[in-house]
Amino acid sequence: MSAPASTIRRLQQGSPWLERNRPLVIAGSLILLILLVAGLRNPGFVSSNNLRNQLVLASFLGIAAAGQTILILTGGIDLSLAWNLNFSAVLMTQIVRHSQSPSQVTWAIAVALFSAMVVGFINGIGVAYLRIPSLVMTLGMNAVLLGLTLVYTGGTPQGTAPGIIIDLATARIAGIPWAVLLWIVISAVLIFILRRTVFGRQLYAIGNNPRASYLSGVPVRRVLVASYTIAGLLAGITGLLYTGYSNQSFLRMGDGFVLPAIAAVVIGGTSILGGSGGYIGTIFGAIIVTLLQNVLSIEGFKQAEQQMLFGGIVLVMLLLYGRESRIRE
Amino acid sequence: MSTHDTAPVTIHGGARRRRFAVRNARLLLVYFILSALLIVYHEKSPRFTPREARSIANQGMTLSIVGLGQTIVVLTGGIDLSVGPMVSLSNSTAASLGDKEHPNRGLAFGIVAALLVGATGGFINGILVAYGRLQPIIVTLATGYIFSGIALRVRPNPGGYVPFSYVEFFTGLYRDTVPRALFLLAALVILWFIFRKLRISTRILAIGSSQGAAYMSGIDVVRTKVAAYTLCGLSASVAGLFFTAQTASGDANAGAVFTLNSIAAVVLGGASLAGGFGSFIGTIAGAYVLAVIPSVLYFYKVSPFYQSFFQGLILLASVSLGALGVLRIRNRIERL
Repeated sequence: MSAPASTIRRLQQGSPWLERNRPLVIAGSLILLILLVAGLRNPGFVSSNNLRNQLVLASFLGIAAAGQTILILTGGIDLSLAWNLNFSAVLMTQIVRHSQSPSQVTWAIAVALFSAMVVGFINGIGVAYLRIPSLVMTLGMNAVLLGLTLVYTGGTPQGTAPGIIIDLATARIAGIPWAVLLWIVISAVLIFILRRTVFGRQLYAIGNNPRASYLSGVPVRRVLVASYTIAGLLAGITGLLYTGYSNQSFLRMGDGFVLPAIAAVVIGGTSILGGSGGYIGTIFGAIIVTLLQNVLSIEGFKQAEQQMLFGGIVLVMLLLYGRESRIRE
Repeated sequence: MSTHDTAPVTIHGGARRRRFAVRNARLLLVYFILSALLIVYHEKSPRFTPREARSIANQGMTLSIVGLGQTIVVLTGGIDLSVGPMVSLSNSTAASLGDKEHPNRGLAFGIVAALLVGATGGFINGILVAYGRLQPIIVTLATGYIFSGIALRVRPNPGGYVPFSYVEFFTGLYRDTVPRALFLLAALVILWFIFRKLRISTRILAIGSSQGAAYMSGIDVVRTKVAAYTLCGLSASVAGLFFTAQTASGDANAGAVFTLNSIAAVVLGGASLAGGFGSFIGTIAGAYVLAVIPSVLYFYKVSPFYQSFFQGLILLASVSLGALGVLRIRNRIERL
C-alpha cells in the first residue's frame, strides 16, 4: 500500500507542527520582539506593573475579539461590535444613575448583557434565515444602535459605572487583575468549546463549507444564530468592562475596538474566509495590537506615524501567513 | 421563475415588462425609496428652489462618486475599506496645495496630485490583493490605516486654502438654475455606460461571478483586479476633490464616514457583495437615499439623533425585502 498523499505532503513540508502553527510562532516572536525592543529603550516598559496594565488593556480587546473570532470562523464578521458595546454600556450607567443599590446594579448589568445578546440574536436571524451577508447585516445594525444610543441618551450618557464593575475592571486579586482573570476564564471556555465540543467543530465546518455542513447534518442556521448571540454577549461584556475602566460610559467608546479586534483575529492567523484558525492566535493578536499601540505612543510617534506603522505591520503579518493558494480551477 | 414557460418566439409586452421588473427588482426598489423620500421632503418644503436642489444634489455627490469605485470593486467580489481614508487623503492634499498667491496653479497642482495619490493608492491595494493573494477586506483595512496616517501627516489640523472659484465650479448653480453637481453626475453616468461597453467590465463581472471559471476562460484575473482597485482609488480621490469643494477646507479625518456608507450605498443599490451583479445606477440612488435622510428629518423637526437609526433601518429593510425571495425557495441547500 502506497503512502497516502497527505503523508507525502507532510514529509515534504518538514515539521508539521511548525507548519500548522506558523501564525502562532510568528505572532509569539513578534510579542517577544516588541517587549525586547521596548524594554531596551525604556526598561520601565517591561516592569511587572506596566506589563500588568498592558494585559488589562489587552483583556478588553481580547474579549471583544473573542466574539469576532467565533464569527470570522463561520465566515462572517461583526461590524456592530462598536455600538452594541456602546449601547449596553450606556444602558447600564443610565439605569444606575439614580441609585446604586445592589438590586438596581444587578438589574442594570442583566439588562445590559441581555440587550447585547438580543442584538447578536437579531444579527444571527438576519444572517442565518434571511441570508443577508453578515457584513451588511451588522453594518445596518450598527447604524441602528448608534441612532438608538443617541436618542436614548440625548447625546450625553448619564451616570457612572457601579462599584462592582469598576472593581472588575481595575482591582486585583492576589496580584492578578480581575479583568485578566475574567479573560483567562473566557479564553479557556472558548478554546474548550472550539476544540472539544460538537458546537465548536460545527462552527469550523460552516466556515469551510455551509452546504457540505448542512448535508452532513449540521443545523447550520441554529448554529449561526447561537454564534451571533454569543458574540453579542461578549461585546456586551467588553462594554461593561471598559465602562468600569473609564468610570463612566461615553459616546463612541466602541469605535476603538472594531478594527483592532478584526486586526487581532487576523494577526492571530484566523482566516477571514472562515473555517481555519482559533482563539489562541487571537489572544496573541490582541496582545500584539495593545502592545504596539502603547509602545508607539510611548516612543513619541504621532498619531499619523502610529497609524502608518500599524497598517504596515498588519500587511507584513498577512504576507507572512495570510496568503491564499493560486487560482487553479 | 423558470424561463422555459416564457420563451416563445414572440414575447408579448406584458411578459417582457414583467421580466424587466423581476430582473431589476432591487433597482426599482431603491428608486422607489428615493422618490418616496424626495416626495416626503417636498411636502414640507414646497418652495423647491434651485438652492434646495443644489443642496440635495451636493449632499449625495461625494458618496455617489465613492460609490462608483466601490461598485466596481464589489463587482469583482472584493471590497474596499480604504476609500474613506482615501477621500480624506485626497481632500487634505488638494486643500494643502491651495495657493492664495497663484490660485490657478495651486488648484492644478492640487487636483493632479490628489488624482495621482488616489490612483497610486488604489494600485497598491490591487497589487496586494491580486499578486499578494490576500483578502481584500483585510488588505484595505490595513492600507486604510496607512492612508489616514499619511493624510494626518499632510494636514495635522483641519484647514488649508480652497479658492472660491473652485467651490463655485463644482457645487454652485449653473445660470442660477441647475446645480453644477448634476453635470458631474451625468458625466459619471455616461462614463459608467461607456465602461459597461468595455471588455474590462465584462472581465470584472466574470471574475465576480466565478473567479475560477474566469481564469479557466483565459481572463487575466490578476491584471483585471489591479485595474478595478486602481479605478476605485481614483474615484475615491475624485470624490475627495468634490468634497474639498463642498467643505472648502482640508480635514484628515472627515472622509472616514464614506467607507461604510459607500458599502451601504452599493448594497442599497442592489449589488451583490458576492460579486458579479450590480450597477452604478443603483448605487447613485443608494447614495442619495442615505444623503437625503438628514434633510428630511431636519424639515420634519425630528432630532438629528435619528439620522443613522433611519439610515440603518432603511438599509436593513431593503436587504430584507430582497431576501424575501430566499424564504420562498423550498430547497434548503439552495438557500445556503
